[in-house]
Amino acid sequence: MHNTRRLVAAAISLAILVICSQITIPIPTVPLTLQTLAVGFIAVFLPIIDGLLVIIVYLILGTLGLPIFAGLHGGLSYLLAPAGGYLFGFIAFVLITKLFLRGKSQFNLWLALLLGDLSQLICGTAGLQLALHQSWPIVVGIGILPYIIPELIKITLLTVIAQRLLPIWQRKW
Amino acid sequence: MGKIIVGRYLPGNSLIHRLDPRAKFIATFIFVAIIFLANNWATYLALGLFVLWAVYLSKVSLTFFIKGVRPMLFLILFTVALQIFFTPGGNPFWQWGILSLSKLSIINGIFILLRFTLIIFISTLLTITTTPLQMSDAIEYLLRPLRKIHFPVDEVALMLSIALQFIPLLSDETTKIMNAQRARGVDFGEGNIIKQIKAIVPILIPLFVSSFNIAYDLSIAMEARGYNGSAGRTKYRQLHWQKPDTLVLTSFGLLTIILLILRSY
Repeated sequence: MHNTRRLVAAAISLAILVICSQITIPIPTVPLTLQTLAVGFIAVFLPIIDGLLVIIVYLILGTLGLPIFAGLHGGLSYLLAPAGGYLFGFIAFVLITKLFLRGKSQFNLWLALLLGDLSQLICGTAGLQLALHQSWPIVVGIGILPYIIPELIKITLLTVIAQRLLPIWQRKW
Repeated sequence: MGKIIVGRYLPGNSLIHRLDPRAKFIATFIFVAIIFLANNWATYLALGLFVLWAVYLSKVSLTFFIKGVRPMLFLILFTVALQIFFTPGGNPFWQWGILSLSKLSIINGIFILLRFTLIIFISTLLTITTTPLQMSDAIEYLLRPLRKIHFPVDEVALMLSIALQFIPLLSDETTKIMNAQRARGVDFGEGNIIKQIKAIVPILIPLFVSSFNIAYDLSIAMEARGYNGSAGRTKYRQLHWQKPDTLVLTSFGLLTIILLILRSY
């Protein structure tokens, strides 16, 4: 990563990820943060190596105790907590989204984000299962089902935004 | 949206504040590792006293640490409750379906509660006494061995300090954009869900566009000043390892030995 612009783009994406983790839209039952939206942004806009690097640095920073996870949390306790799997899932999110991202059609973008998001939820649920030792139906019930609608909303939102931003991004980078 | 301050750093001049950030990082890691050695009341008492002593040395009011626990409280209680009600075994004195309550499971629940609280206290101690820039310096130093496997340590460190300086900037920008959109008649946090979600778009697009612009300007400025990869960059802030730092690590070594002894009782 020697190109100055790539470095700065990665840095600003990291900053965006930290900020978006703190923006919460108060919807009853599930707090909707823009965290996964920022992860999707990173997956779509950055090259895969940079994207993974940003996620790994984010996780390292959070683990070291900087309060940068959703709701100003931070620390190893959060990564080891039952919900920690969702954080590891960001890596899967970026990988899977990049894998399925071909061309620039709106549907392809949406689908790639959907698959990425789904893989993140699966990682999170696997983490829940490991931490709580409950049966799979219970874990899926608390780990995936409540998030389906919010995540669908977020990826649709991101598809709309990304379509508008990609031309601007490409003009600069 | 409240102002986001990364690192709840509280300025001070206590022993803990003056420690080398690398020492604090290593100590925090050791603590998180050895807390899993604790398996009975004596070990938790030793850990608890050690943490309280460290808090006392930092001269930061205990309320800041308790505040650090509060946002995690729901998560902790949830885990503890699952642990208490769903752990089979022991001699249940109350049972209803798959739910059971035994002395063993209650004690286990209390231990988990203690473990969470102690980890939060110690990591709060790190963030409260260390500035974000000190942290990024320490991270850079501690990641150095990864250079051997071609992990871009210098780039990551630079990325970190850029990101840390961008966060307050972008946070201010977000507030500014939200106010600008309010002036144009957007209602945040009002109306039905679809309306609220639609209100996010006019925040996000200007936020992203303005961060692209800031990043673009910054990269031009860096190149103009001759930045070409981080190899051979010298440091403005130097870290100094001193006697207290060695002492702190020694005390953590002692704590480990005490835990290993108390564990077998």
